[in-house]
Amino acid sequence: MFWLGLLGVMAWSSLLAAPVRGTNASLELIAETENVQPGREMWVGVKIRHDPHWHTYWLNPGDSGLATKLTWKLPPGFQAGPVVWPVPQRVEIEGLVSYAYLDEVVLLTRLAVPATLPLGSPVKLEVQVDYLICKEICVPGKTTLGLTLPVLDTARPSPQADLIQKYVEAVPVPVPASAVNVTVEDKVWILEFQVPSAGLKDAYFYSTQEQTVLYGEKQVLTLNGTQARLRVPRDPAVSPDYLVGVLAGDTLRWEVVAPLALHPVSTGPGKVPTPTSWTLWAALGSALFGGLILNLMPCVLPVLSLKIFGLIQLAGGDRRVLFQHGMVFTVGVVTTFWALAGALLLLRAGGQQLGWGFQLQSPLFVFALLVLLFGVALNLLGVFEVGVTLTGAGGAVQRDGSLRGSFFNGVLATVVATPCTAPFMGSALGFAATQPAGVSLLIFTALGVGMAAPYLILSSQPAWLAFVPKPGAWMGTFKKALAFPMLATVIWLLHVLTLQTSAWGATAVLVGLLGLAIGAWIYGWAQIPVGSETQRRLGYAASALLGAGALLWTVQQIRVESGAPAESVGTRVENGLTWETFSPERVEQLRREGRTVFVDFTAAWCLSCQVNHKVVFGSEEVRQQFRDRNVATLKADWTRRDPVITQALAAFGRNGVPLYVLYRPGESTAQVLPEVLTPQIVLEALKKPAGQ
Amino acid sequence: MIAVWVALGALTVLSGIAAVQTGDKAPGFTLTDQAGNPRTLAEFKGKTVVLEWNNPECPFVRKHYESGSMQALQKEATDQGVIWLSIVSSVPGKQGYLDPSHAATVFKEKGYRSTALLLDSSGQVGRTYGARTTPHLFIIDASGTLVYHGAIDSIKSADPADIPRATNYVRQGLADLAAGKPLRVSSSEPYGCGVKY
Repeated sequence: MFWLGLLGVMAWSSLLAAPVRGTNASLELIAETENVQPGREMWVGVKIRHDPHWHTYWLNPGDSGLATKLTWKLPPGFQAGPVVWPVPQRVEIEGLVSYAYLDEVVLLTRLAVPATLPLGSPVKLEVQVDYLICKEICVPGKTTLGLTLPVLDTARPSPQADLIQKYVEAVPVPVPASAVNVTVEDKVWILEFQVPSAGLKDAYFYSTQEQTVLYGEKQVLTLNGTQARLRVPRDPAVSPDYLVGVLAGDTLRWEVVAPLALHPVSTGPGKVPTPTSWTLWAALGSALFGGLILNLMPCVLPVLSLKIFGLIQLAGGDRRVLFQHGMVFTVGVVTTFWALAGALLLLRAGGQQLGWGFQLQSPLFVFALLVLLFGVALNLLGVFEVGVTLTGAGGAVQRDGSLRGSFFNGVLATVVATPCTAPFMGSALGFAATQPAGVSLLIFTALGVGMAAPYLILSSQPAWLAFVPKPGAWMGTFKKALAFPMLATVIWLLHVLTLQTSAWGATAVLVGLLGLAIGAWIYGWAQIPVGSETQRRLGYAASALLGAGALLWTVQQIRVESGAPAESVGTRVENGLTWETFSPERVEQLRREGRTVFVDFTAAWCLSCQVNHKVVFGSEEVRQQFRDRNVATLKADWTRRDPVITQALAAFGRNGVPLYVLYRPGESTAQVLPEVLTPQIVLEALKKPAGQ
Repeated sequence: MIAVWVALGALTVLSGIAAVQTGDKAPGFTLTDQAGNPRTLAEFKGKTVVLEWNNPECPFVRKHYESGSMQALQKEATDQGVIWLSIVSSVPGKQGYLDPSHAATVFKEKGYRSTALLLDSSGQVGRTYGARTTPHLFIIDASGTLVYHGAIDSIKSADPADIPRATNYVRQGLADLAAGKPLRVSSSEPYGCGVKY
């Protein structure tokens, strides 16, 4: 009886972890649920109850103080996100203003629970809170908090759920960069924005950047109809290219990452002109050139070998037909660019945070592309033919006279090209994203024309094709060989899909492809007029049934698996360097610690990203320099949809990956490195003396 | 008399902190040192001067003194002919305020290796320079121009274990200055306790 009672008490005390008395405050680790559920993300929070007049600090403490730091100790597989900071209060002592919390605050953190966690035995969450707590005087505190929770298959709200919900609702909401227009004068930043529909009485900008605003000076809000204007006294020490912080008032709570409008264009090496300051002509020229270079990027090569094959087939024929094919190919490319741009614009208008390559963030799209390329490979290998009539070499896609084939080739080349961003293209796309729809479409047109240009020119000048060998029996063999780059692309897409779903998702895709291959084989058999008409009909029906069945089943599996949590939370080691997960807050924090910060904006589907990564971080010298200089390496993985990363890209005037950004200590401006990266570029950027 | 003080107090609060920027001429001052002697900035003309805002009881100041790292840097600097002035701007009744009769003892007991410990008990010099935290460091070059203002080092914490890992901006700045090069870091955000004005 006594033991039962004791067990009861123990279970009770673990559920209701009592506040711990810290330094001039009581602290408690709280969770939104009274248990954890495998695979379910949850909010946890450190609740700090300050003694009267004592306060702890926000992310940027202001004139004095130090931000509270949380260090988690979690069971294997658990991952804690960054601290989600509530809007602070301004605490003024003799002209010095700090951003701090008085009375009660809950510092929220999103906790990822592994899906494989066994039910039954409870888990212990632990966090070490390092804080500076001040009244008139300051005292550092260090308190360790723990919370033991049972593992159940359904989540039950805890008594603290309402409190956590209250703080979650009060978290500043990210707004697009365009929501706040920032200009700079000699002594002030000027922030202009639309007054929320509920009206506005007061507003204050809490900068998360150092040496950017003068904390002790008054910020002045003026209203003109629905237009608000906030004058924020500026710290003249540095001049950043964008403002980061929280704009808070009685009716608004915005998380702002706003690039400076009308910032003087810098032409120094490695710097990218601010897209907003571009003329349309510069953007169009860049797009045209970027499109041209896109042909040399690894994504497009497999498809282009097909195109060249087509040109060889047509080389000896009618000049007019050849030119027609070139034109139709161009139309195919441009139309696809328009379709992608249109979809992008529509979805963005609908409020989604998307950028170039967005379609590859969808596992179903990746699967569709994979099936398409696999089908083309089977066709090239001669498993089946496309179209009713049989021809020796080519199939409908490449057959003489089939303009449809050329159009399709243009479409395929463009769709396959989207994972790559060529040099010049990145900034042109970034510009397009900030422009009205008409201008955007014009830039996408220029990209398409640029990409199709070499073929258009070749097909208009057949004399230049004189060097190619005459069509003949060798082409059948060569055509089969073209299947291998296609299959290589299939492998790469499968890799992307694995990262977006799970190991099971990838297996399901392979099973689906097998079904498809068998279907294609039966189809190919039915095409050969050997069996009876009935047998062939049955063959077509069986292949359609098998192919469709395999596709539907795989799509179903992918849908289920794409809900699985991302693996890339926390840190990972690649090429002997530790990569942390990117967040703007983490970058700010590291910069405040005086660290050099390198951010790699990447995605698994971005082939140029992978190539850059291998080339640069395969170099021992680069790795050595990164270690010697204690460079903090952050990875912003855009493989899946991620509004935070989309916004961070927008802050650099970009709308796609790759993007490489280097922050050097003591410099206010980030340095944007080129899209095609070499060890030399990175080393030079690192070693360059300060202030240049 | 009291009215005048209140008015003056209100004025200083209203005017806030008038920060001196890198490239500005360093404002002159006269303050009493730990031995009771008046000291001026002008007397160190032609020499590199470090101003270090101090409050012996602030945990961030203690981080750098109890680990001995601040004294080591002071010795390193003064051995090279640099003038190091530690300044306490805590006003009477606030934390860190040093009674003139007590300052010499603190200076000796804590092993200060600075040129002098100066008492700014009206907080006026601190406000002129825009000293916000303890510690808050300023470097003035031989021509009297401010070349650095900001934190002592690159890692903001009250934990002495962080000192060896951090870049000390003052050590780095003095080395750059001695080598005749522009400072790699000429300003940074200071961290620490608020100055007890």
